[in-house]
Amino acid sequence: MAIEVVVDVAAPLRTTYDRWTRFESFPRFMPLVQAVTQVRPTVTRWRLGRGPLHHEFEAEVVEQHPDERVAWRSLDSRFPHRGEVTFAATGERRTRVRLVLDDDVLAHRWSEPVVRRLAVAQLAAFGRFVEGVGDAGETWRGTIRRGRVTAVEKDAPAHPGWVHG
Amino acid sequence: MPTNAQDPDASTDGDQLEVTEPKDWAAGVPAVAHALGYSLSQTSPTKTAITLLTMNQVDGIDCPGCAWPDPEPGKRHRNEYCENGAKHINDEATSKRVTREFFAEHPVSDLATRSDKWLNQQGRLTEPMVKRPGSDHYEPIGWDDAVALVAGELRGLDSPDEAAFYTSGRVSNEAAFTLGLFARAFGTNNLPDCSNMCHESSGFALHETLGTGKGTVSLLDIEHADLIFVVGQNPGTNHPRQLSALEAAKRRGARIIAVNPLPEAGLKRFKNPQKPRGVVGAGTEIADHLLQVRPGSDLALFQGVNKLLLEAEDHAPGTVLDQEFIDAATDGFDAFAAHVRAVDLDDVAAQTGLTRAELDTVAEEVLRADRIIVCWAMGLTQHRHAVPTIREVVNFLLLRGNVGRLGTGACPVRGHSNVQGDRTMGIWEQMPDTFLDALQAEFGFDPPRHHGLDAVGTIRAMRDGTVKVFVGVAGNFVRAAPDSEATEAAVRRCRLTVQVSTKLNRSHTVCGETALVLPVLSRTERDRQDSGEQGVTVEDSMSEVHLSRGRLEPASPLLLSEVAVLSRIARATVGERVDVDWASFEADYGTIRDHVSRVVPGFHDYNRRAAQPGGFRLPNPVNEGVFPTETGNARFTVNEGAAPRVPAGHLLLQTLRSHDQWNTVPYTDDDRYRGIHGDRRVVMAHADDLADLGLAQGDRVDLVSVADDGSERRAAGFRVVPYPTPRGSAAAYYPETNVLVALDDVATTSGQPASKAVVVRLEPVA
Repeated sequence: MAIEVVVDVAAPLRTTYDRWTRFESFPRFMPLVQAVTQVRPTVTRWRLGRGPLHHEFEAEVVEQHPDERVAWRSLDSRFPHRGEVTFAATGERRTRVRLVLDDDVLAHRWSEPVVRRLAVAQLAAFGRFVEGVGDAGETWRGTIRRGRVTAVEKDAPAHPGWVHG
Repeated sequence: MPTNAQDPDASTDGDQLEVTEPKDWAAGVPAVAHALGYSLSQTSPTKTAITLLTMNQVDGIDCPGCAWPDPEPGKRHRNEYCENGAKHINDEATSKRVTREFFAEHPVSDLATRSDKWLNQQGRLTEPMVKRPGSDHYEPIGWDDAVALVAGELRGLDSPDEAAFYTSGRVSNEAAFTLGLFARAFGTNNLPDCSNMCHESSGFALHETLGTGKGTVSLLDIEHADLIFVVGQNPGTNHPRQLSALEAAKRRGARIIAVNPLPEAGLKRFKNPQKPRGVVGAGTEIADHLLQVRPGSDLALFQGVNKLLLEAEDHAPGTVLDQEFIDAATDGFDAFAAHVRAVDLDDVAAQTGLTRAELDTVAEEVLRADRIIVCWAMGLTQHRHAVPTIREVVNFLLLRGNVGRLGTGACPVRGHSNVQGDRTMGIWEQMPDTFLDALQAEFGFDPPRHHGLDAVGTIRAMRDGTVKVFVGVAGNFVRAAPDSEATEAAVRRCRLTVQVSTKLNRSHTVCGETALVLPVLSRTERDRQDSGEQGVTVEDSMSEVHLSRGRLEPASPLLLSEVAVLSRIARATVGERVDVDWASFEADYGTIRDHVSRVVPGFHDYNRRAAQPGGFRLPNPVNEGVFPTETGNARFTVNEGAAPRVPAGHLLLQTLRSHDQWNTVPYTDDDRYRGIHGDRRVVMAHADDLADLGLAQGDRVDLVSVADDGSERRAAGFRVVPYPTPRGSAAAYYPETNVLVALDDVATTSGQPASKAVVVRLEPVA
């Protein structure tokens, strides 16, 4: 099953893309998301829920191309799924964001209309957030291909770089 | 021929030796029972409960037992420890005390005849003791006098390089940083540490090929790997919590290949005492394949597998190698490929003792797996060709892009909780200029730039009389070191030996002219300083840094913390020479962390981040897409090397831990997974080899080793035990067999003693 949702955002391409990659800010506009931790460039940890009920899982970013797209797979053993979001400039301050969610498990566990409604709502919330908040500031502008960081625009983080016995 | 005249273990007559069938499963309810039984024999039920319930919990005690990491806060079990950790912690928290009366009753010469187990059983040290020149007894000394004695001796040396400061992995980050700073303020880089005997080979190999000397794997990766190799490692005894992670991986569908000369129980089946299936059920089978290779043949194994992978790529181009990764982020592939293609697989089979079918099976498993991790320990690092071997493991990982992605990577598993942290804090005799520059900028003095001595170098220098003062912080240097006879003679030549310790061990009984025993708080004890109760930080194998806080009352009112002892010695020795506020270090460890935050990369905001639940992770550059090697790429290498040739009538001996042993400390004489009870002076060998040698179970033999330079060393009085070791090899416990490991028989490049490749013969005795 594949679900495709589109939203037009009144913001520049780069701002929109950069905002999407700041996963730790998602709780600000997605009520169901309690917390997101960027464990490493290719892995995020998500905590969904409301009140005392919550569910945690990790997601692996398999593709990340600045100003173009982000693709991931969730590592949730109960609800595994894949997703991809692409970005295209439709004007100087307009960006089309396309979200595709794809997995057979979704088809078994949830009804398509329910998932579609959720996806539409979350994407719209993202769009409003970007329009309201604007510039994303300094973000990680690296490239990920097939689950591996292949290019970084900034230096790698500081680490103790001597031989460890 | 040297004999071990003062061998403390020679008193065992072996009548208690009992051999049963080796187990084929590890942990389970017996592990819990054993842990509790041992704990309760050492301490009270209350103390036992406090230690076990706070062990490895957030804001609790970090278990010194090994460096396997803790799960995320919130995912930790209530009982987040293993049998060994429980014993270790409660061994430290024992109610028994070593008092001045004890030392009055037992002269040093008597203590030097006692076994490691007996010494450990005597309990916690309670006050500083000194052995004066010419005396055979330790007598009490006050702290101020003890500190003044050390400072006086150090200041009286002709050169700061006549002192050496040894660190063992119990030492916290704060104490390690203080020690390294002090040594350099004093003027030397003589900083041997236990890594020199442990994963030094891993550090060199990984640093050269990946640009980081640490493992690239976290628990998350283990969870999401398709195939995990466990090579030269015995997690059932040495890292039981790793079995939990491997079990979880298996249940998610991962495959596991164990590579080990011995069929260790923990590699076969794990009964998790925390899960019903482990208590009443059959547990989980861990290894899908157990490859019983000859010791030291892992280089041949991985070269053989690499060759098979290249051939598979030839047959189906584009399906085996991660060509995009190889082209974009590595160098050296062509030379590596040419070399490996010339490898003869029949040779590999002969060297490893495996069949061609077993090699093919490994290749098939590799081809089926998208994400692969290789874990290893001393089985790879304690060989002369350890560095080439580990480099070949990296070649293997690079071929299919198994670094830098989730579920992939190199996983050297360390055996002591803060061995990695100590090195991060600067305990290394070869720290780079970047670190020394940072130290200079922070503290305003010029640290020495010339490299210092590692463990083997320190032993040689003591032997030659060029190191005269030896300070050991934690650990049991005399038993951890190779070539026990030579090491002990060397230590005895010192003018002054100082041991900063919690419990009695042999290193207190092998003394310089003057010897000091400086007792300190253990990990389990409350550490009260002027600014309040202190926590210390440690770094596990997966580069996570977290706080440890003790909960128990100190074993004696006269104990100081490691930080306090080192700060006071530093102040007394170099106080007027450098502008360092040592007293503030002692009063508030946060001060130390503030300095570290400006000196060690990755430790910005150290205090705040350490206080977070679960602490913080030091990012590994490989997972950030960066290989900080000389070329900026990951590096394929061409590697050669093999285990030493074993002459007829000889076997290749590996020294190893028994179960119920933690590093140099045996808790009991019960190696229950291997079915050997009651005696530690045993040598395990294949029944057919024993038959060829005319030996049978229970026969008494001397082990005689033949070093690379032809010199011989003897360990007397061992019982023969037939055991499924590979033909041509044998196994025996350390530290009893360290006497057989020649000082000069070390790994190339890393200088690590080759303790798993000792050529020996078994000489029958009446």
